[in-house]
Amino acid sequence: MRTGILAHSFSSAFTIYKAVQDLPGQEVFIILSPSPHRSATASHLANLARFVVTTLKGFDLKPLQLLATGKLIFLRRPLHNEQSVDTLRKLELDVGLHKAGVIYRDVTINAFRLGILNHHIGILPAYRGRSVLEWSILQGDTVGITVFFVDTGIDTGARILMSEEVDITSYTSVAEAKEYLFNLDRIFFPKALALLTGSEPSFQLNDGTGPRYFVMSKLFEGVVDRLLQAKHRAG
Amino acid sequence: MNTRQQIIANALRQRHDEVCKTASITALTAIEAQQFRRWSPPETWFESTGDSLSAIRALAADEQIACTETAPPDESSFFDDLQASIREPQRRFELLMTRYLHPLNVAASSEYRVREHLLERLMVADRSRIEQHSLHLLHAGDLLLRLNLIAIYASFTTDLRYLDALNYYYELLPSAWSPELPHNWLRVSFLSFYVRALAVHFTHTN
Repeated sequence: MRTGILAHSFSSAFTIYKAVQDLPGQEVFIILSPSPHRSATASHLANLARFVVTTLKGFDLKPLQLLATGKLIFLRRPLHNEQSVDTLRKLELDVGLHKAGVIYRDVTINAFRLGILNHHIGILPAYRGRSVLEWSILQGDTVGITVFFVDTGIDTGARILMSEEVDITSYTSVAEAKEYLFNLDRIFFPKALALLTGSEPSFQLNDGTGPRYFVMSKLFEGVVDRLLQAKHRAG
Repeated sequence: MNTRQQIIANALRQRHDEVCKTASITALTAIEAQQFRRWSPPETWFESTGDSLSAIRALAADEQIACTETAPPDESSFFDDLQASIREPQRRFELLMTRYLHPLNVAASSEYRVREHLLERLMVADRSRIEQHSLHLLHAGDLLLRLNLIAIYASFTTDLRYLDALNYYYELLPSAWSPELPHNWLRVSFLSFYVRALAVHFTHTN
């Protein structure tokens, strides 16, 4: 299976790369697109710096190997740009792993045979949108991870590949719990790829009926921190 | 009441008291009343002869508005027009004023899509413009009218997303902000409806 990690930052993509590179039957690419908040030149310079630091700091030759074998790709334009989509098509990728801060357009999603997987830190279809970890805690619901194929909407992709509850009782702040859940992508993406390479993967339906959540106020963020602390104390 | 409900209720009560203090500076006496007149949502639609802004002002001052129950107006064209007006704030302001002659109609079951649309615009596009650029880029009347409608609905629903939009905007809008427009009291009415919604929620949680 040919897998492409879509990211703006080399460091975050490389973390995922290390987690999935040794899975049987995987050929993994890192595809870096310019950050929407920076110019393409500034994005690439920042990534080159990260690339050098990662190589030197970890005495790791893998980044150089990626570059030498054409598996590290720098896109000059956004992911929906015709030139970028053309590059993606030529790579004949089966699946994409989402690490870029964008909402994808159909033309990008369709460049992958199966689609693009997202590691979402909430349970779908109930929790779509922003701050879903906080909203799940506030409303006393299950906290967890959903890995699903994206569409052009906000967490409305119909095919859920996996969904799992995660225990966060050891954390006493939303910031810590959130970091923990985001970092679980290096566990959940390999699990998801294993499911896809197995015999006929089955999907749960994300019917998109759950409400869309939005960024949370400071008042409720404080409430969520207190709820986490109360849960932590209760063990 | 479980621990979760207790923590939420305490936070809401604290915010309620804080907003009451803020609001008393703006001299709307009704806002400090602990016992508001109870609102009933429309079974279908309230027909009112007055105009939307006067009705909002009356509701904020906890006065009654004369009205009768009737059938809801055609929704499909209104919703399309509303969506089409996202870059025309004056047009949206007028559309909403015309639609909600009786502001409690925003809580009618037929208005689900409208409420979700208003909430989304406030919490995504408008929030982002205010945070990344400036509040002054927005049409103050349009912003405040939508906040008032969401604030009215927040008293009718247990969906905390609506109450939290009010929390968010209370924190976001500078306390000294005094929009220059004919209806700048919409800021005061927003605080009045916010106080009511907070009171409804912590009472409900109790």
